Amino acid sequence: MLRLNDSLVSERNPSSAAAESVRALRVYIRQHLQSAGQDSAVLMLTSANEGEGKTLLVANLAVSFAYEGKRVCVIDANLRKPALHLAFGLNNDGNGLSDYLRGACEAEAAIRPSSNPDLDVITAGAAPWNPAELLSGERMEQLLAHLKQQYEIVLLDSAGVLGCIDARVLASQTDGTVLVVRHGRTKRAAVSKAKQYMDQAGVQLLGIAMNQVK
Amino acid sequence: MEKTILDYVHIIQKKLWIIFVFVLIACATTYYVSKTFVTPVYAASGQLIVNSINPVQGSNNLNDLNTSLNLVQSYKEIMESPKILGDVVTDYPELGLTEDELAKKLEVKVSEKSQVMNLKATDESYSRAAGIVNAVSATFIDAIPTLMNLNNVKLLTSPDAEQPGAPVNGSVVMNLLISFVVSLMVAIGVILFLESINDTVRTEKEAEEWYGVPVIASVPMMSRKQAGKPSPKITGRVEEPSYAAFK
Repeated sequence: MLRLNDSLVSERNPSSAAAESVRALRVYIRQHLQSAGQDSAVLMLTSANEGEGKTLLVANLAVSFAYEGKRVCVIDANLRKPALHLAFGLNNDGNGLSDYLRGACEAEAAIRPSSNPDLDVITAGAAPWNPAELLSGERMEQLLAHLKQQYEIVLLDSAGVLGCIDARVLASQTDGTVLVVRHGRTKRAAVSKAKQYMDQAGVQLLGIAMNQVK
Repeated sequence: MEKTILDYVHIIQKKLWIIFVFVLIACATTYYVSKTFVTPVYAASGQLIVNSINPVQGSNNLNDLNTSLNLVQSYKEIMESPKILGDVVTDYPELGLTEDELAKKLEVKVSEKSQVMNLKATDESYSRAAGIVNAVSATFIDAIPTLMNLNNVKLLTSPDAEQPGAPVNGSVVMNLLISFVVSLMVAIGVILFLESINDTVRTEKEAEEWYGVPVIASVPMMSRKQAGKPSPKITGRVEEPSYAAFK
């Protein structure tokens, strides 16, 4: 199993098959947005359960978009088990999403630059006791609206859909979701359930990203 | 979702090496076992003929024939009787057999409407099997005149002096062939079974069919090697076109 802090394959080895499939995902999303006539969008990657590779895909997809010259902001909205900072080699100290949502800081203070000038990161921040309430609150909507003006693509990493409601309340604030499915690991019924939740949230499920395909 | 033949072929293709290894182990085990634990058993056979009773010219009528045919049945039982077997055991100590062992090794076959008796002996050594056939035949032919007041049994065929190549209890090649076929079937069966009780998402085709959602990326397993080293900032080559047209 690849450690997350080694997982930015799009940056390290752009010619690899994995980086290629991330590019394919990027192209699909870009074309989807073009045909929808959106010039900026908030997209969430989620999965049925934990450990299916959301964080890895979000990070690589963000890097891939940044390579394309798009302004990207990637947010760790998995407040329960944050991991995105590991992929970018950051720590989860200081101001993060939960601190902003609690009103401890403003949006600009939470945004961190990365090694790529086109790519900014917002880490999860300290674990709150009420993540679902924070994510469904007004400040989250304001943040996303604000980021959409500044960035072309806003990517959200989220918690698993079946484990907690965080991803479901978040979904309705996004322009689309991609469901990450781990090949040979995710149960069919779990995928059905996750899709049902996304339909319920009234968000468009762009498609399934199959991960760890042998 | 109904699986087509092609889907099954794909499943088997994916697990081909597992099947291969399984079959190889099964065949190797079979070979080892049949070489070390199974002692080959050889069979020797001979034939006796029961003549008509009154070999008088022209009187070879149906009655005589019937009588001799009926005799054949009795002769079979006489041959397997403790008397004959006991005589063989005492007269041929070189065989080194008890009466029970002899009875186990000896098989007498007669068919209806035939005057020929078939003797078959099986033993781990061919020469001993042949010896049993010869001994039983000779003892029987000697004993018949006193037992039945008839002298109408002759030796028709003696067992071959040469040892035949193949033992009768399955040659190694045959065992290997059987083990190959059986293990192949078992392996394929188990794999198809496991495949059918596995309720995870494993193919794009399935996913698209079930959920009505396109599969928009298939990210292969990333190994650490593939992930590469943290790249130096300047790689000295153009990574990708910039899609300027879309900006």
